Amino acid sequence: MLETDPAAARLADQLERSFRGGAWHGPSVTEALDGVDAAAAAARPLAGAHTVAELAGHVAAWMDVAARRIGGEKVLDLPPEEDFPPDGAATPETWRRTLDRLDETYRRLHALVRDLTAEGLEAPVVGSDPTVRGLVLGVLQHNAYHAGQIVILARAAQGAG
Amino acid sequence: MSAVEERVRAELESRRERLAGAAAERGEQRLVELLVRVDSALEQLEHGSWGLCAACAVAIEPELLAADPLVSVCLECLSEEDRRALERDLEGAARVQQRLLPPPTLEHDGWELAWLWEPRSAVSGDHVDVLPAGGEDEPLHLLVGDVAGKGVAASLLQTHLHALFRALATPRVGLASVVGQVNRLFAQATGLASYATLIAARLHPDGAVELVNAGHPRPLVADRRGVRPVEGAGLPLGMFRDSEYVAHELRLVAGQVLLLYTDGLTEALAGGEEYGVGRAAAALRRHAGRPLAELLGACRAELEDFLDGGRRDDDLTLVALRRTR
Repeated sequence: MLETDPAAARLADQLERSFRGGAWHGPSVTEALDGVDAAAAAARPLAGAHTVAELAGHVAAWMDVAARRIGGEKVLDLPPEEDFPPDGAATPETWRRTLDRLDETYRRLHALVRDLTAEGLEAPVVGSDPTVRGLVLGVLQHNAYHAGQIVILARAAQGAG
Repeated sequence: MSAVEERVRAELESRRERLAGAAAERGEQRLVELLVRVDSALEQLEHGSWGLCAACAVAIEPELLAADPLVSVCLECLSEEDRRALERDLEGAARVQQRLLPPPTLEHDGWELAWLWEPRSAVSGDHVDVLPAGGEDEPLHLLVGDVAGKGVAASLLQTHLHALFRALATPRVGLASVVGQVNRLFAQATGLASYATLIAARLHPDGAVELVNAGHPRPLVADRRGVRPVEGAGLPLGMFRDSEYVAHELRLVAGQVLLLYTDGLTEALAGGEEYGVGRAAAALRRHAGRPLAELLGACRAELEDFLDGGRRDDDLTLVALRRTR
């Protein structure tokens, strides 16, 4: 029987902390989004910058890509409307759906990472990181980067509202 | 096989392996008898008859099975007299365990501490204890642990751990050595048939915290920057007689909070998903500035929200420690 790898458990732990809480750098993605309503999520307080909803959709989209790549799909890139999905907070219901999708995508990716074997971690994937290990490390950095942006944008949107 | 049955099978297989080794080594009749009961339960799991009463073939109460997966008769099939005697015994055991608990809050030498201890049933396999300082400038000892399994068997071993630490923990012996000594005596007492995870902490008056982690969930440190787990863990107590332990030192400054907990928090399940260290850390971050008793209540309330009316299936212990100067 193939056993899951301790390194995979550590990566799954880091993924959980980057998404749910307990991250070294500060608020996780979920913590950064806590209390952000649809109006704040849809606001564009900085001209030319993304909205919180676009970033939430973007984080979900790339965790989905990572999950699909781990599953063997050769997903190279996303069209702009999937990369930063527009109108993700047009109404409170669409904002709820955006957050639900984000959570569902995270849980799917987390389960895949947690169950990786040593061979699975080194398996090749398409994209800028040639192995699953590199891909997951990239997701961790991506989550941390955008969690920070969401915190700033949410503060700016709520300050302007 | 259901998820519960899969978990019980894994637990019994692990127990069987340790028992087989101990029985072969020591040849004690009680170990052999226990091994036969474990084999019988594994066979029942294989044939789909595990959890059914041997007398009436009705499903045994889940709480009873959770407390002892080797149980073979349901509560209904016990006589009225047996039932009353069982209830009296459990109430008595619960009172004994509660009397062994430390004072609910404590302030000493720049430390403030509070705990919450909630058994899943009448008694608990979770362990929390605070050993007062022996004199001026001497450290406090804080212990948080969890004996594998639930119910009466786990609670008996918990009280054994309580006694071992009370007898052996002294600042004149290094904390890692104390834990090593407790491990040897615990393994000897259980015949390697059970184990416990535990964190032993020595709290010094200057804010230093020595920590020895024996396979226990990582504590969380909270401050203005955020929340992060404290890494570093050895093997659980009772698993191997010669396990060695390492003490790590943290230094807490005024306002920092350390949260210790049992897996009743992070491994609580709702809809097949674990509560997890991430949610625990996020809850601590939200409430870290509150008085400790409120902080613990708020963390527990967030767990209840996650469970959405579902019942916890494990004991729960939370301990919060804050540096006040």
